[in-house]
Amino acid sequence: MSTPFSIAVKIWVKTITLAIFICGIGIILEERDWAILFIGLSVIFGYLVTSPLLIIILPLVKWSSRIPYANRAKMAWLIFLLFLLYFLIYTLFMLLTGAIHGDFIEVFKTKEGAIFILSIIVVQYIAVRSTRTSLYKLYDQPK
Amino acid sequence: MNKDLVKIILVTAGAVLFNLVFWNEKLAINTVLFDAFLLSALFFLYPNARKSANVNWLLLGHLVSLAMVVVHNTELSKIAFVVTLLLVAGFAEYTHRSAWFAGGSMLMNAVMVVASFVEPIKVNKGKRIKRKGVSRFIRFAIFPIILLIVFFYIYRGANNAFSEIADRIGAQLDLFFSHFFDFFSWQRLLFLLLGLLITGSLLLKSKLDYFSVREARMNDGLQRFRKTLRQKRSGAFFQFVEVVMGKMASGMLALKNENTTGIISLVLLNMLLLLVNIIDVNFLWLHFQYKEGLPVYKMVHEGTELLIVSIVLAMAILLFFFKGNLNFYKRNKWLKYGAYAWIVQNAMLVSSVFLRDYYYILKHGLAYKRIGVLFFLLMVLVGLVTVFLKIWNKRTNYFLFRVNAWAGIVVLVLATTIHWDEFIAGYNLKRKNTVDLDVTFLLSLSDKALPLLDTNIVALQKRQNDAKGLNTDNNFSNCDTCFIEQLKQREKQFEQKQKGYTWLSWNYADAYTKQYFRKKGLITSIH
Repeated sequence: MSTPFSIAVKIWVKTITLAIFICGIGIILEERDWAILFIGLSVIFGYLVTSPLLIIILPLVKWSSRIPYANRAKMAWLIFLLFLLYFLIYTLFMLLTGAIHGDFIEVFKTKEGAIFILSIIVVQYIAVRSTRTSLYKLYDQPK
Repeated sequence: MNKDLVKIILVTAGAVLFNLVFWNEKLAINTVLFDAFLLSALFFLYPNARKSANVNWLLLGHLVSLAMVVVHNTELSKIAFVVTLLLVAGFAEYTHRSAWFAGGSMLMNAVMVVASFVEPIKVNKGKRIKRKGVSRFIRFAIFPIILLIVFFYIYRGANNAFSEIADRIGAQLDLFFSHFFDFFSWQRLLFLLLGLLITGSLLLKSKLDYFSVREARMNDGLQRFRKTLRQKRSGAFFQFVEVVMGKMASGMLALKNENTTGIISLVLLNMLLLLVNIIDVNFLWLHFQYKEGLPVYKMVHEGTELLIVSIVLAMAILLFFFKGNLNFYKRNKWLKYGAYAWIVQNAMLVSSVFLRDYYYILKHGLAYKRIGVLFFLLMVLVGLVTVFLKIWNKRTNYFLFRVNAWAGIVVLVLATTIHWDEFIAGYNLKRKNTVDLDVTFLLSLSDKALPLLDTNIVALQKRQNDAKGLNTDNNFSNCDTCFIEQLKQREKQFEQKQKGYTWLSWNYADAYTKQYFRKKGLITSIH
């Protein structure tokens, strides 16, 4: 049975796992001493800290099933909204920590900024697309 | 050709055009190219829109804004350009009469853009089977790859020879990828996606027409309908009123009580406002004088914001009393008279606020906020007139907001026809002997004001000398009063910025400034 909650959990777990994987690879390639420690802590605390995201992911999954579009379009919409969610969180975090000074747009015009944003899109694409069987089942359920 | 396919082609072409004309450029002549494409595509996809009067009027406003982007290139003209473009698209794609609802539909377009873009793309079923194989391969590969990476690092740590070979291969890969990524611009790819998002939001009509359906139910004229007490009680606001008024809010005489409360409130408020207006007429209209030693802002400027809030609140109170059945109550004559009197008195208050602003401008010259207050007062006057019309003709709040939105659009478009920075600089410098020149503010104005500042360099020099005379701290490396140096710095920055632009960023304002400095020999090489 594909419920919105089980799908939201799947997407969230995949997103966090992929994020830890990509960050871990990046840190290992940078040959940082604390790489293993970082990956270990991320695996332990990453899921715990980000679990409140389910409160937002769950309604997004529900809404995606209600919009009057074909299944593939619904899934694309979900990817877009999840991307927006993480983009907003990232931007808010950067603003609160004072990492963004002056022109806000300039940050995303740097190579690092652009790669970061594109990586959010790729991660969301993989996380949602690999859940498409369950998603389509949910979309095809009689409302 | 299939219309869905045409939509996809147009949106993609728009995104590519967006990428070509706006990358590392400012909104200028390039906007004309992009706008021509967008409008052509819009009217091609929605041909009936050309018959709509609303679309034609908005198009006129949009073209004025576009012309002002090329001529003045102010932030205001760019805002007006974006707003009018969104509204043209909103009115072209959906059935609307109100700009608010059209704005809502465009917001819906933006939220649904990805779904609207993907929907018409058909997938070849033959390829699907192949893809399933690829997907299965990826799933099988994930776990072995993780294991491979972990063991790779273990062996690398344990075996020096292996580590050296791995380092050499790593260095080569690093070199390859760095060259590859130098050639490939990630920022540009992201910019292309932004273009796709913008063009798609403007051209692709969402399947959710929530706002046009909602608006179809709205009327300009108030309709009388009966509500049971139970229906009324379901509203939180009525529950609150019932707590305050007790049985007076829900009994047989509820409407009469509401009318009486309204009359008493308006009589008291009118008396209070009359007192304020009499003081203002005496102090501001008839016997105004600048007092020696008392700053002007203390006399006239302080409290302007509060007066503006009071006028807006006044309109809200009238909307509250005339929200429903009181409009049709037979004995509402005195309530209406009270409301008209209050509208007239608030119009007087608007005049007093205008006079405050005027006296402040006379003493201190023009500034953004002072001009903003003038525009705001104009909008408030329109608001008061429409509130009067609403009560007089028994109109709905929908009518009120609709008419005011149109007035706002007209004011916005008309405001773009003036280069305010140049106007402010010209006004203040022309009256340099009568107003207190705020040179730091003048130096913060946009580049178009630079030639004016440069021609008045003697006045700036005088202010600089006066300020230095007052300033005992001779720290010139971080000097707030080194106006001439700051002006030279601005001129250099302008020159530097212009070097980064191509012909796509051409606009009359920059060309004028460039021409001025070229004639003076300050700028030597700008292409």
